[in-house]
Amino acid sequence: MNTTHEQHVQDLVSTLTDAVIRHDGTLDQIMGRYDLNDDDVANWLPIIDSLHNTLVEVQPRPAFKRQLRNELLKRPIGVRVRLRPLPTRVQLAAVLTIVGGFVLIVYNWFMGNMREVALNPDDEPAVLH
Amino acid sequence: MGLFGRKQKPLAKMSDNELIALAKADKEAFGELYERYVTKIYNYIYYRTGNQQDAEDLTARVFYRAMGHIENYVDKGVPFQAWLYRIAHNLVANFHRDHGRRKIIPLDDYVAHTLRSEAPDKQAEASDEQETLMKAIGRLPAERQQLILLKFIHQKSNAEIGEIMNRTEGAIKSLYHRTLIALRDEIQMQDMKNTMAKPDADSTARKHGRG
Repeated sequence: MNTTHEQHVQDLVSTLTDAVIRHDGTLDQIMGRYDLNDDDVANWLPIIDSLHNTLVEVQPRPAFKRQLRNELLKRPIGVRVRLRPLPTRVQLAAVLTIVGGFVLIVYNWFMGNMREVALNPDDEPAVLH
Repeated sequence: MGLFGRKQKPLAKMSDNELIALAKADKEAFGELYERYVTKIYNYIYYRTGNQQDAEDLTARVFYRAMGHIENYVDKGVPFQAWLYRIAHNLVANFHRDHGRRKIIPLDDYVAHTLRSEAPDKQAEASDEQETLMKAIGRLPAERQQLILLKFIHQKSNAEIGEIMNRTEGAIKSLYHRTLIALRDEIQMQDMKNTMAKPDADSTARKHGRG
């Protein structure tokens, strides 16, 4: 269960974080506005500040954004369109798997036919006699 | 759409709910929603997966899924963006389950971005700190990572995070506090390990230097 003290610390941490994220003035102003003391700030500010400086927004590639938008607005129909948003290596693996599977089927079918020809029981008596 | 089809308001000025209602029949409306949220969703996934390729792949899947289900979307107190984040969260969870890993972001990308203006010695120091912090974040449970990203990258309030994570504002406040404690402890432990490892490394280096 939350004690009053814990709730106070939780409020303080959230308040301090909001102030840092929104650049809510200088540290002195923040401390004055939210009635913080030096110990509170010393306890929490370093980790909050590190997170704020480390986790920065990254921008997706403009080409990716553009391409995805175009594909979405075209409404995906069929395998080819569904394959396109996948990474190149995944597309390549998919194509290789399909080609490999096809080759395997043809190979098995061909070898099966060859075995039938080699072991045709009708031919054997003729060879033995 | 015809002469009377296009609404008086431009798409860019419409609210999410207006766009959703339109998007059920008008792809351009979905395009506007896409423009509003693609960068946010991409960031969320990028920091959770650790690389650009997976982030692009999963971002595409989020929007394909959203578009596929937009006809069924009803605002039952969950805003559209919260709905998107939930889709992203589920896809990232599946991704980690399938890959059996939880990666952290490659440092080169963001360190170069954040520290461009710093002096080289400060850059190296800050880069070490950031690396330690990112490793610590990477070791957090998924929901705590989600909270940290929503707070610092997307600058969401506790109430908004609560909507996305399906929790009360008070629960988010409490979870955030515990997450900061966990991160602080983890970093302190890492610092201690580094300090203990450093004298060994120094003595090894000296030994090799003499030899």
